[in-house]
Amino acid sequence: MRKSVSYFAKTGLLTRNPAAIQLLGLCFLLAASASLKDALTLGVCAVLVLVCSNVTLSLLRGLIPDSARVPAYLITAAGFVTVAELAVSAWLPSAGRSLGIYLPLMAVNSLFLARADAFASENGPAASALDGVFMGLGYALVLVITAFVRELLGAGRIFGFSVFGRAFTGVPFFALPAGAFVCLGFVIAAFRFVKRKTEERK
Amino acid sequence: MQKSNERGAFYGIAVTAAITALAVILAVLVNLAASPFIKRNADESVRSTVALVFDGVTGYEDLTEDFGVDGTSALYRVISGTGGEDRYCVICGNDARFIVGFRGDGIITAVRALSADGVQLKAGQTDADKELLAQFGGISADAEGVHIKNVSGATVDASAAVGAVNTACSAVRALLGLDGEASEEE
Repeated sequence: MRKSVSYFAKTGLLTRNPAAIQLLGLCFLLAASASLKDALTLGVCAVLVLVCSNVTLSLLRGLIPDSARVPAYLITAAGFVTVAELAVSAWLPSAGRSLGIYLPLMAVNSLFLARADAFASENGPAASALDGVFMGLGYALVLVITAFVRELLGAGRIFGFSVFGRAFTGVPFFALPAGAFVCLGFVIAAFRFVKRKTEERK
Repeated sequence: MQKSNERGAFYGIAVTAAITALAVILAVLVNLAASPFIKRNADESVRSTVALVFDGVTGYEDLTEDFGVDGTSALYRVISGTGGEDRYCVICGNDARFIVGFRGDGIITAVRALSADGVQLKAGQTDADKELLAQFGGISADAEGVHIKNVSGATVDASAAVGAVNTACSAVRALLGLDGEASEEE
């Protein structure tokens, strides 16, 4: 069955959002959501890596046996993450320094493994590319929203600019890992609420 | 999918090896294109860090492998356009990192805070921080255990700064042969 772009957009961004609904790659998301700028860079990298990995594995889907599928998916994702890391270090050095270990850590993000296994291994390259774009954007959306809330409440700043004036320097709790858990919990709840309301309207 | 599942274990290993080889080739090709930019960025990063403690830096020589001691991230001989005597700087510290500048005779010229727990310091920039770190100026690398007074309001941890400066002094002593001179005098 041919699926429309709007189907991919709706499933990736909301109804089957990889982070908020499928709860994929949360460990990475919690660690990488301390700064909005880093979250944006990582979100873009996640989209690009997921598209490349999905398309490659879709093209190779007839050749990869069941017994070798997990190492094949992981190696493919790790290869593209390495490319992304080299590109960021070369052409976005300040972002590379700021991201530190988070970008290489993306290689073990369960998002890539899950989408390769659930979608790319059973669909053509065009559909897999669209799945990669919108699932990646859905993941990036949750990452960016969580980072936005944490930076705003944790430092009182957005992109380094003071939002509430100099008097408010933030609540340190939100900059800590515990704050990330709380923020992510509210973001997931909000996504699920919107999803339920959308389904009820039907 | 069914057909590929019927193939033997060797086939699975061969496919995994082929995908690994393709990933490595891709990474090598991108590395070839990116490495000149990565090298240039690393060079600019070192120059801007060294410029925190020395003016007029035109180049540097990395001496870390030859003279670095435990706890030292980097040790550079600093080259300036005007020539003059050698100057050195050492980057050290664990959770909080510092850069320590030395004259050629081993006297500390400046200490600056770089980061704490991997986060760039806005801390280390306040007047209290500057007052705290200025206490290191003029101390010789061969001094026995560096000590400073805490400054109220400073965001830099004084004991972390002292630890880093002591490590830097050990590296510069080894570099200038001051350890040898001390033991000869004894």
